[in-house]
Amino acid sequence: MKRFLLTMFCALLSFAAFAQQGGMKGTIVSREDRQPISGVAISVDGVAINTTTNSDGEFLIEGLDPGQYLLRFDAPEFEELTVMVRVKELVHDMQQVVMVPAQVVAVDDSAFAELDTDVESAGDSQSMPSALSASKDLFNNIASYRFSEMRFNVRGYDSQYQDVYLNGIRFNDALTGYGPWSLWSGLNDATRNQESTSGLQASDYGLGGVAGTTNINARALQLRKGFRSSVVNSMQLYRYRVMLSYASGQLDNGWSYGFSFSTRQGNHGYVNGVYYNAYGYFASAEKIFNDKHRLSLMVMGAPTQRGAQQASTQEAYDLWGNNYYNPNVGLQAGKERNARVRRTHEPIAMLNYNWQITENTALSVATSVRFGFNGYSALTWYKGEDPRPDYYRVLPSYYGDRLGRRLMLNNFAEANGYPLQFTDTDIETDRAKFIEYTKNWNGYIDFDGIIQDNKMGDVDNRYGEGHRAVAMIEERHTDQIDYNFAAQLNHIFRGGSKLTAGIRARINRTEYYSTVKDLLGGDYWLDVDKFAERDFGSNAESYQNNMAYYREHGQAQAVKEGDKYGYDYYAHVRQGQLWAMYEVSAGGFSANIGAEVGFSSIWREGLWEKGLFQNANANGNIGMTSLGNSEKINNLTYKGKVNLRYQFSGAHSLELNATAMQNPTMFSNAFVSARTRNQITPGLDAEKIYGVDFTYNLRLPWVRARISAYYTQMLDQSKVISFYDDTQSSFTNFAMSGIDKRYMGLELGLSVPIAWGLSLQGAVSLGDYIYTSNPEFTQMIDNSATDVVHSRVNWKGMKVESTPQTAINVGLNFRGPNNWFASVDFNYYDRLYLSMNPMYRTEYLANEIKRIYDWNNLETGRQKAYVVGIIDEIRQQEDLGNAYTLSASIGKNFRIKYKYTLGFSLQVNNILNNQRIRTGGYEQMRLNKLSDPIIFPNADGEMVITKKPTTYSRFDSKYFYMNGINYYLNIYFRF
Amino acid sequence: MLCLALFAVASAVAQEKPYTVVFYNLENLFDIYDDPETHDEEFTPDGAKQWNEIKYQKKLSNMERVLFDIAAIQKDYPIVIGVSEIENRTVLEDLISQPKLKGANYRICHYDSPDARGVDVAFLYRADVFKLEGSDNIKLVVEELPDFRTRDLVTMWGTIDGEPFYFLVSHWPSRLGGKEASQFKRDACAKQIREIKDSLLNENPATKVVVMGDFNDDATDASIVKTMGAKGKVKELEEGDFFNPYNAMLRAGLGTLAYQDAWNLFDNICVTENLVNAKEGELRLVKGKKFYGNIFTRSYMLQQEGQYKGYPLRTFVTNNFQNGFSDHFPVYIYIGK
Repeated sequence: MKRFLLTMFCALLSFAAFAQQGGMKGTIVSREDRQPISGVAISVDGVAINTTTNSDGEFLIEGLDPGQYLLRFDAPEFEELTVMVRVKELVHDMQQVVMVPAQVVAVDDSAFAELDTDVESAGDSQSMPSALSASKDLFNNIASYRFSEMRFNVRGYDSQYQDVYLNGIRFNDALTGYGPWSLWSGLNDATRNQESTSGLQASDYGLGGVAGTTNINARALQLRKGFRSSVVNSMQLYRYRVMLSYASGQLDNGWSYGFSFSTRQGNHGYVNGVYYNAYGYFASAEKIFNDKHRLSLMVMGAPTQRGAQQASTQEAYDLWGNNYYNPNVGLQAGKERNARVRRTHEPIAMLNYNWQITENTALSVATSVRFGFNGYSALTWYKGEDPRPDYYRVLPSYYGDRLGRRLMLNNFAEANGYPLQFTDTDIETDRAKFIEYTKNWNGYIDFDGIIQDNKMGDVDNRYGEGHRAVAMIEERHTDQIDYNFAAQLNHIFRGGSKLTAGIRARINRTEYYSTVKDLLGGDYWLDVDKFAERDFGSNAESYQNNMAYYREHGQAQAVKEGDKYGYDYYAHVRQGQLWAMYEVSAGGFSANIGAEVGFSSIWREGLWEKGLFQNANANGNIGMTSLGNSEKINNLTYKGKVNLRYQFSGAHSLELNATAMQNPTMFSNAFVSARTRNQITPGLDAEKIYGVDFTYNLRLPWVRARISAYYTQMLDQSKVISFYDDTQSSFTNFAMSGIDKRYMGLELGLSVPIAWGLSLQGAVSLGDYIYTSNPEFTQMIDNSATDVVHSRVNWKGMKVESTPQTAINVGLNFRGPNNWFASVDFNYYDRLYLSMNPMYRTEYLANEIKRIYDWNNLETGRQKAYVVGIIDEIRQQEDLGNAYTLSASIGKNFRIKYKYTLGFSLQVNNILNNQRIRTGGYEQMRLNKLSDPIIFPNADGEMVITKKPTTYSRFDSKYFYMNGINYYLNIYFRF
Repeated sequence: MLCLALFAVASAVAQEKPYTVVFYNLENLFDIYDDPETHDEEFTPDGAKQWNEIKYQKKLSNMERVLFDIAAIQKDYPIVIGVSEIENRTVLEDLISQPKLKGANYRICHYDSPDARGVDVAFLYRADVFKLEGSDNIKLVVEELPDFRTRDLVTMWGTIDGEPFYFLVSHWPSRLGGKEASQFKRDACAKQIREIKDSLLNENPATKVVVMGDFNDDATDASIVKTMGAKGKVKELEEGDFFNPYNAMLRAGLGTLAYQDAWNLFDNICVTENLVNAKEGELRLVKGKKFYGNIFTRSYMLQQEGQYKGYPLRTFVTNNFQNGFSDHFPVYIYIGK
C-alpha cells in the first residue's frame, strides 16, 4: 500500500513538474575565445535552484513559473555575471552566455593606431543633409497626374528640354530630342524607381536642361523585391492592362535579377479606331563582386501596335454627333479600320558597370544599344481626290459656305439696289449639293470604294498582268540603331566638396523609308512621284524615285506588299560631350558649378537617287544631290550652369539657378526636304538658351510649399514644315529660322495638413510664353527646289501654343487608417492657344492681300482699315477658352497574413462629363481661295459690291477634345 | 619665457579628451535562431528575410564600422553606448567582440523586454570609466492600456570620475496607427521619465541624469518639450530641468531619419541642467562649433543612387537585403571637463 501511494505521489509530482514547463538553458563560454566553461555555479534569485554547467559548459533549469528571473553566474577567474531572463511557457534557449575573464578592464587602443593622424574632425562641423526627392515634388506631381489631361507642359517647354536618363545614359531621341517614354511604355513596374530634379537644377548624371531631369533606375538591384501583379481596366487609351513582375532582391551570392511582362489591349473609351495591341518585356540581372564592383545587364522592349487619333474640324464633329470623331477610320466590309496605325518594336540592351574605388571615389560606365523598327501607316493615293472623310471638298461646308456667302451677297444686292449676283439656279444647285453632302457624309474612309477602284485599276503589260492600285496604305519607317556610351567619375574631397566628371558618346543611324503595307485589292503600286509626273510628265526620269532601278530596268518599279518605295535614306548623328560639375557646401550654403562642351555632327546619306535631284545635274551643289552624303552639319555645343542653395533652417531654403547653353541642331529640322534631297535648311543655326530661376521652399508642420519664378529665352530655333500650298498650287517646304521664344512665370505647390490624415493641396502655374522675334523663312517648291517666297513670319508677341498658360489645381487628400486613401480635385485651365500655321502670318501674305485690294490706290482710311481687318482676321491667334474639371480617386490596400498585399485604386476623371473642352489642335496648313465678288467700302464710304482677283481666307481649324467622364481601375496583388 | 612655456604645458595637459556618449538604433539586430515565444520568424534563415549567417555577419560588420568610426573621431572608444532594436544579449556579445571594437572591453547592461517582436534596449559601457553601482529595468506604464507590451526603460547608475551619473535608455511606442492616435502612449513614457528624473534629483541634486533613446517623436514635439520638460535653449534652463541639444539641431534642418522626403529627429540624448551648467573642474556637456549635440553621418551610410538617394542606407527595405546600416543615424554627446 505504501509503495503504491509513493508511486502515485511520485507520478503526481512528475505530473506537476510536467505542467510547469518554463525554464532556460544555454552554453556558457568565455569572451576571450568562446570556449565553454565547466563548473560555473548558477543560482536563481528568489528560487531555490542551484546548478552548475557540465563539461561542455551547458546548463538547464526547468520547472519555473512564467515571470522575470535574475540568474547569477559564478566562476573562478571570471567576473560575476547577472542576467535577467523572462520565462513564458517554454524553456528559453539563451544560446551562448558569455562571461568576461576577471582582469580584463583596461582598454586596448591599438585599433586607432592604423588611422591617419589627419582624420577629418567631422564631429564639429555638422553638414546639412541633402535634399530628398523620393517622391516627385508636389507641383510636378500634380502637373504630371492632373494637368496632363489638358496636355500641360511644365513651364511651357516642349519635351526635348527635359533630360531623360535610363540608368545614367541620356536617352532623349537622337533626331528630335523628344522624351523617349514610348520605348518603355507599359513597363511601369520596371521603371518605377526614378530620381527627378526640376527646372534648372542639375542632375547626378549631367547638367540637364531647363525643364528638369529624370533618371530611371531600371537595374535588378533597384527593383522592389518580390512578386507584383496588377490588372487595369480603363476607358482611356486602352481597355485592359495586365502586368506581372518579379525581382529577387539582393541574394547572398551577390546576384540579383528581375523581370516584368505586360500587355495592353482594347479600344479607347471614346474615340473610335484608337486601340492598343501592345506588349512589354523587361529583364535585368546584376552581380556584386567583392562589395566594390557591380555589373548589370538589362534588356527591355515594348512591341506595340496602336491606332492613332487625328484632330478634325468642328463641322466634322457636329456631323458625326460627338467630339470624338476620328477621321483616320474607315469601313472595310462593314468593319471599322484605322488607316493610321503605329507599329513599333524598339528594344534596348544596356550594360552598366560600377566601381566603388574608395569610400569617396566611384566610377560608373554604361553602354547601350537601341535598335528595331518604328512604322506609321497612312493612306496614300495616286489618282483622284483625297479619300479622307474630312477633306474640305467632301464636307458640306464646301458648298455650304459658298451658299451662305452668295445668299448674303444677293441679300445685300437686293437691299442696296444692285443687280442680283447669283441666279436662283446657282443658289439652288449649291443648296442641293449642301443637302446631298450632309445626307451622304458618313465620316468614314471608303475602303470598300477604294478596293473596287483598285480592282479596276490600269493594266500595263510592262508591269505584269495585274491592276495598278489607285490608293493604298503605306507604312513610313524610321528605324534607328542608336549606340550610347557614358562614363562618369564621382569624387568627394576631404572638405566635403564634390567633383563629378563624365564623358558621353552617341552614334545613331536611322533609316527612313516607306513600304507598301496593304494594296487594298490592287496588284501593285507604281513607284513614281505623282507631283513630278503632273509637273514634268514628258520627262520620264523626273518622276522616278529610284534612279538605280530605273537605269537597270528602264521603267519604274511595280512594288508589292512589303517592298520599299518612294524614298530611302539614312540620318547620321554623331555626338560627344565632356562635362564636369563641382559642388561646395559650407553651413547651410551650397553651390554647384557645371560646364559641358561637346560636338555634334549630323548628315543625310541618300540611298536612292531621285529623278528630280540627280547627282549629275547638281552642278557641284551638294544640296541638290539625292544620293550619297550631304554636307556635314557640325555644331560645337556647350552648357554652363550655376546652382546656388541656401538652407536657412529646417523650415526655409532658397535656390537660385542660372544657365546658358547652345544645343545641337536636330536632324528633324536640318533638311528642307529630307525625302528628296540633301539640301540643308537655310539659316540653320544652333539653338541657344539662357535661363534663370528662383525658388523658395517652406517646410513647417502646418504647411509645405514651394514657390518658383523663372525666366528663359530660347533663340535661333529652326523649323521645317512641308505641306500643299494653295497659293503656289504645289507641295512646298516651308523652312523657318531665327525663331525666338521667351518663357516666364510662377509656379506654386502647396500642401496644408488639416487633421487626421486630411490635407489640402494645390498647384498654380501662371505663365507668359511668347514668340519674341519674327523669324525669316524660305518657301520652296518641293519638286524643283525653287525658292518661291523669302519673307518673314510676323508673329512676334503671339503666344506659344499647345499648353494652357494658366493651370490651377485645388484638391483634398485623405490618408486614412487601415491604408485607405481618397482624393478629390478641382482643376482650372485658361490661356491655351491653338497651334499656328505660320503661313497665315507672313509678311508675304499680308502684302499679297494688300496687292489684291489695290492698297496703294486706296483712298480712305476706312478702306485701308477694312483691308487690315481682313489681314488681322487671318492672322489672329485662337484662344481655346477656359475650362474646369473635377476628378476624384479612392483606394485601399489589405495586408493578408503579414505577407500579402491586395489593393485597388480607382481614379475617375472629368466627373462633370464635360465633352466640350478643347485640349489643343492646329490650324490647317491651307488657305481658302475665294473668287466670288465681295462687299467693300468705296472711296465715298459706301459699301459696294466689287469684283477682286482671287482672295484668301482661313480654313477651319482642327481640334482635340478632352474625354468625357472616364475611369482607371487598378487591382494589384503583391508579396 | 619660462612662464609661457609652463602655461603652454599646463593647458596642453588640461586639454583632455572628452568622453563620448552614443545612442544608436541598430535597426533589427537579430540572431539567426528562432525564438518560439516571440515573433522573430522573419529573422531566421527560412523566414521572409532569409536571415542567415552570411547576412548576420555582414550586419555585425557594418555596425562595427559605424561605431568604430565614431570612436575614431576622438581616437577613444565611447564610454557609454545606448542601443535599441537588439534581440538579446547574444547579439550584443557578438557585436562587441568584432575585431575593431574588441579593444574597448565593453560590459553589457541588458534586460529582456516583454515586447512582442522581441526587441530590447541596452547599454554597452566601458568598465574602466563608468563604475557601475546598479541597474534596473522599469516597465512602461500606460494607464489606458494595462496589458500593453512594449520595450522597458533600462537604467544604470554609478560614477564617472567620482561624480554620480544615472543613465536611462528607452525606445518609445511607435506611430503605428497614426501619430495622433498613438500619442498618448509616448506621452505616458515622457511623463514616467520626468518623474524618475524628479525623484532622483530630489534625493541627490548632484546626480547627473542622461536620458537617451528613439523617442518616435521629434525633439520639438510637445511630448518631449512639455511633457518630459526637455528645453531647447541653455538660457532658459532652470535647476532640475532637462536640456535637449537636438531641439536646436532639428530647427536648423538636421535629422536622424527620413520619411516622405522630410527629416525627423527621433533619436535624442537629454541631460539634466547640472551637466550643462557644471561647476569648474567638473564634468560638463561640451559644445561643438554650433551645437551641444552631434549626429553621426558619413557618405557610406547614405543611399548613393536611385529614388531614395540621400536617405539613410538601411539593412532591409521590407524583405530586400540592402547590406546597409540602419534607418536611423547614431547621435552622440561629449562630456568633458
